[in-house]
Amino acid sequence: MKRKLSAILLIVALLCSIIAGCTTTGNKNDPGTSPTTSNNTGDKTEGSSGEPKLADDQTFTFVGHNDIMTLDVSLMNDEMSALVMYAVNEALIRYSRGKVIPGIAKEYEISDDQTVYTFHLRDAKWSDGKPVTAYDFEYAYLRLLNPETGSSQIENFNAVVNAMAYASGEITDASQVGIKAVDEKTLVITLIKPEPFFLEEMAQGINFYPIRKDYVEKYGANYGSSPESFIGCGPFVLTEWAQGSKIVMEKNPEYWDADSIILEKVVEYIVGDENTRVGMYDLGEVDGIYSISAVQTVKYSDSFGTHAGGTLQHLVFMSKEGAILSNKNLRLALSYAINRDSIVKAIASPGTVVADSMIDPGISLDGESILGKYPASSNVPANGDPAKAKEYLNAALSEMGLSSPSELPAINYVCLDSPTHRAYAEALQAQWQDVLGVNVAINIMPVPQAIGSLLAGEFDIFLNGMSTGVAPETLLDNYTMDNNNNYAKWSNQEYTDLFNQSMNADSLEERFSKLQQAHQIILDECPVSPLWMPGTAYLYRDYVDGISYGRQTGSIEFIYARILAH
Amino acid sequence: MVKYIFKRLIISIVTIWLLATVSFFLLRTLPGNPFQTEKLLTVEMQERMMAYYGLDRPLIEQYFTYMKNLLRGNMGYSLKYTNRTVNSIIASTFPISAELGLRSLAIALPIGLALGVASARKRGKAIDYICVFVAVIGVSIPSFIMGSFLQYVFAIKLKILPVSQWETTAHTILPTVALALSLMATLTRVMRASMLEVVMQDYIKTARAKGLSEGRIVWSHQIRNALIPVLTMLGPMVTSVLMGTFVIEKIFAIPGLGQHFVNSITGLDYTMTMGLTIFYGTFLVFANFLVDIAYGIVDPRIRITK
Repeated sequence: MKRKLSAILLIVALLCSIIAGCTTTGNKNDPGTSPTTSNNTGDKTEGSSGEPKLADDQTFTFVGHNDIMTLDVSLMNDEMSALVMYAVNEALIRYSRGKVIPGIAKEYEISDDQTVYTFHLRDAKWSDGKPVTAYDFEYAYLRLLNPETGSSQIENFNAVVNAMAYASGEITDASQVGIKAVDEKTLVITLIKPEPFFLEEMAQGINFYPIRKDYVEKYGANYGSSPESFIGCGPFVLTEWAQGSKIVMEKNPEYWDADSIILEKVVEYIVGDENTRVGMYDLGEVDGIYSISAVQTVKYSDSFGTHAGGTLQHLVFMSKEGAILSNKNLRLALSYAINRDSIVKAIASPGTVVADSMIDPGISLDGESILGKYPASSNVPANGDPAKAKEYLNAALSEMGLSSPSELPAINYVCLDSPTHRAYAEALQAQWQDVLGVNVAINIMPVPQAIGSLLAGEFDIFLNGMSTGVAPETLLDNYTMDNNNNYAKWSNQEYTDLFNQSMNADSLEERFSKLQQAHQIILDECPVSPLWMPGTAYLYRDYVDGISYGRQTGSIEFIYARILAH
Repeated sequence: MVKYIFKRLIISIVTIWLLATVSFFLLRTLPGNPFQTEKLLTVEMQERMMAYYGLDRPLIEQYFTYMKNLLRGNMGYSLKYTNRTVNSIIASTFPISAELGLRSLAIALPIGLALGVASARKRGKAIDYICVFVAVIGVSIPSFIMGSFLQYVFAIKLKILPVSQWETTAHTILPTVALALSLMATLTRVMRASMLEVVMQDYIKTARAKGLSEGRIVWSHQIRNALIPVLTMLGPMVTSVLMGTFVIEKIFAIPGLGQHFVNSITGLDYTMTMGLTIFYGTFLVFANFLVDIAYGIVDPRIRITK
């Protein structure tokens, strides 16, 4: 029923956008313009010469599609909450325009053995004028780890001494955890072993903000459910949250770097329907749309921008013994048969890029891409390799003692019930049929059920989209033997050994080269097949200057934006 | 009357208890758990969250805990909006949906019934055809088309009304009309059909034979009797309208209750789904109770006191 409804909605949306597209006057639509050529960087009007004139009214309004779930930093796990939190609060360090910059900590030191991080806080204030202290951070981090808080985000701290033991209830003494406020202005975090990505994790993560203990004590379980029950120390103050409808933030005069903030007010409307969002943009009720679908990018072909990265969509092939896809050649045949390029161009959101590895090329250390330095590739061309795919298929068939692909048992593709996932599934199914003559049955399920099937291993093919994280091993970590999250149930001793050696390596060089070898093995063995890194398209008026999107969620940076005279 | 109300009250409570119990167990037979979201949590984290919310305990134990809390009027915290109770979410969104619903009913009820009567009275005449045509259009055009159409014409093209949001009276006009049109159409059709049936009854002929005036016949005999099927329909109709409509609320970005019905079940937000089911059920039982009393006023033959 729901599926049918969404199909009808999609058709209506298409029709409406066609009608709307036809009636647009002027020459905004230039069919010759390639959508992906515009503003890939995210900084839309950055770099114009001279100081532009600013508008008198520094109010920025935009429209998003989901409400924020919570303002409780310890529990926060969704994009829209993270987006607002980035503006109304501030962590020790901040991630901005691809760099780690100072936040509440004015400086930090790392001990010689790379395990003790000492943060020195500046004189910053909460929005009610009280000073921000190291105790606020200590409280926030320990609260997140406390089993009584019920946070699903504890893994952010797995590099910290005793953090996991405390979170699991193994130890109950919080003072044994390597998070300590020495005095009002000094916070010391002690790691189990050197972890060069910890700072990036803190900067890009969404759960490292401070929390005011008196607010939690006053509001209890309702802390962070309304503007009154929340306080932050960021560049903006949350002044209104009409749940499901509207969020208003105003400039925080108490913010330590208030001079760098030009916007006086930011208004986010929450509108579930895309046609309504676009209508508001056309009428000038909002200055921008947080994200637009591929359909709308046709209408606004010369004005939208895109950002990508942070997520990798990949196929998981059920590789456990006895499964159809336990045959490596069959997995490779499926992977080589995919014309990733054509699917990205036809279906995916603009900005999507084809991927051939399980490490995000954007993951870097000291400005150098890890993948660039330690490359590994599935070697599948972006437009596929039908000849090679057929070779692998024939090898697989003879190993299985079959004479034609039609004799293969049913292959079960479990698909999440969302329009994009369905479109991907159908395109992949068609390509496998055309190139290999292999029949794949698509089984569409609501999200919780589909994820349930993934975890239970009740599928042959699953298109999985996961955050690539800040450390290169984020996605590879799952596929060691006997790992609960080894979705492919793939079992490879060599891979597991290399991965573990990498994690226990003494030097960075050893860590990354072992990881590189493991990475190449998983790509060659193909229990998972990288597809692409999905992009997102967004739309802002020309006069909105200085908006940029970060790699991870929650780092949309309107905080340094300004409204030009228009 | 008091005895009747008391009896009905007992039946209502049993109905709601049955509803809560059946929903509770049915909901848990759905595969998956609330922490299996598109943003994949590790197996370990899911187990941690299930344990935190007590969802790993035996189902029967969870049931008794839930019922105990429910008796105290506590429907628990939403599993998605983690810091908000189901009670507070309903308390903040229901008034908005109810306001929209009441506005629509205020338009749809008098117009719909009047059109139905007029149409039946002038059967086969131009006015009948116009009414039937409008009613068929109103019933068959789904609200998301009607909503989008009104929005496109009056907000985007003519720019005389706001596109979305729920702030001033001007904001309420388009969604109210969009919702009212389909309600009106349904009411017109039911009223017309019911009137046509009543007109054929012997007692109308008797009334005519008695020499009653036409106005008296229409008012006291035809409309009054024709209202009974409409009343029957009104209980569920009012309930569903006041509880919010997913599509209209989505198109016009109205922060009502409607969206939660759909989102909570697709996201397996157990507490939220249960809370909404019980709230809806209670409201429906109450609405039907009022309808039963109204029957007696409209038609003395169905007096409840005997």
